[in-house]
Amino acid sequence: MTEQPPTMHPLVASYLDELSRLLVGIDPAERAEVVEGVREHIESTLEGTAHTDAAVRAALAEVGPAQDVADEAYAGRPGAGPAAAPLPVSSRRWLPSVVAGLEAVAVLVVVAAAGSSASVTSSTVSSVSAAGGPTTSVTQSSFEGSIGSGLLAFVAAFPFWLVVVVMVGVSALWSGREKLALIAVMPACALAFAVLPEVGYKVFGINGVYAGGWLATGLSVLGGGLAVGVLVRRAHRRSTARASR
Amino acid sequence: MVPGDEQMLSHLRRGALEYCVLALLRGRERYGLDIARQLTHDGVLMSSEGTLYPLLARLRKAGWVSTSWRESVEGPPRRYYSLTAGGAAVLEAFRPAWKSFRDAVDATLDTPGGTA
Repeated sequence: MTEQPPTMHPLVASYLDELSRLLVGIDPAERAEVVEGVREHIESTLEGTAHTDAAVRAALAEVGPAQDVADEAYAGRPGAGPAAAPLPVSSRRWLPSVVAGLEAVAVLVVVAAAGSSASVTSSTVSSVSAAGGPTTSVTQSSFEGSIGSGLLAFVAAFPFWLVVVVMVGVSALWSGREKLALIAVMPACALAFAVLPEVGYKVFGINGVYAGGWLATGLSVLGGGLAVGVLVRRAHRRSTARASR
Repeated sequence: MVPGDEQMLSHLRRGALEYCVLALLRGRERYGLDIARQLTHDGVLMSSEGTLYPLLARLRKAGWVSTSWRESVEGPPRRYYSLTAGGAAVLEAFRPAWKSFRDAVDATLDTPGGTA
């Protein structure tokens, strides 16, 4: 295996990313200087060692929590902190809650739109035998596919999603990967409603359509809710940590 | 509530640590890891190595230290920090100030009324 530059180690990248976010309130040139200094420090520490997870963790432990480094960066600035350097709008405490609310509305709109455009049709066909015998009734169900429902759900939730994309995009409270996850929630729910009933129908017939629909609903509400809940709580903690300095 | 050792040290470091960094650079250039290891070896002056870098950035901004890049035999080039003439003057001014501060604290702690 080729040796990876330590900066590329995900633990180091994640640490530097967090540090950079915590330093959002200080001068960009100084922030870059601090982050670069810490990066070089970690590289120097890991020089000549195998960059195993354990070695990287030990190096990061010596560097100390990113919050400590950020606290030192904010210390010694007369009037530094919220009063002198107010948090940018994109890092304010209310932002994660608003994003959570919009995500919830977007997912509920997807569920409602996909559910109301359900495309299983049932028809009862009655037939009378030629000999005047008893009438027989057969209920036939047909499924016209769920791709349209998923697309309709996406379009219905699009306005809410667009606001989420803009707010999450400009905010400094999430990492790049976390932003992608938040932005992907609504399209993923719409995709689940487009695909799962379709797959259910191909595998189990009409009952599979209902199963796919319920599965999509469960994934959207529980999975989407869990993902948004975790990411919004993280952002809230970060915003509170900044505001309390 | 009695504050812990680390909390007390954290308060005491403020205001003194940057002069310790200047003192370490007196007469020789050092790179970040080298300075950090000197300051953290007993855990008194510094507990987290990373906190050195905001401090160095402040010292550089104040014009008390300057930086230059040097090749390293073991790896990528390293940023070396050195004391400027302004930094050396500040360090010399700190010495008597620190001595009188330390003596005053010691004297107060040794006064019977000061330890009660």
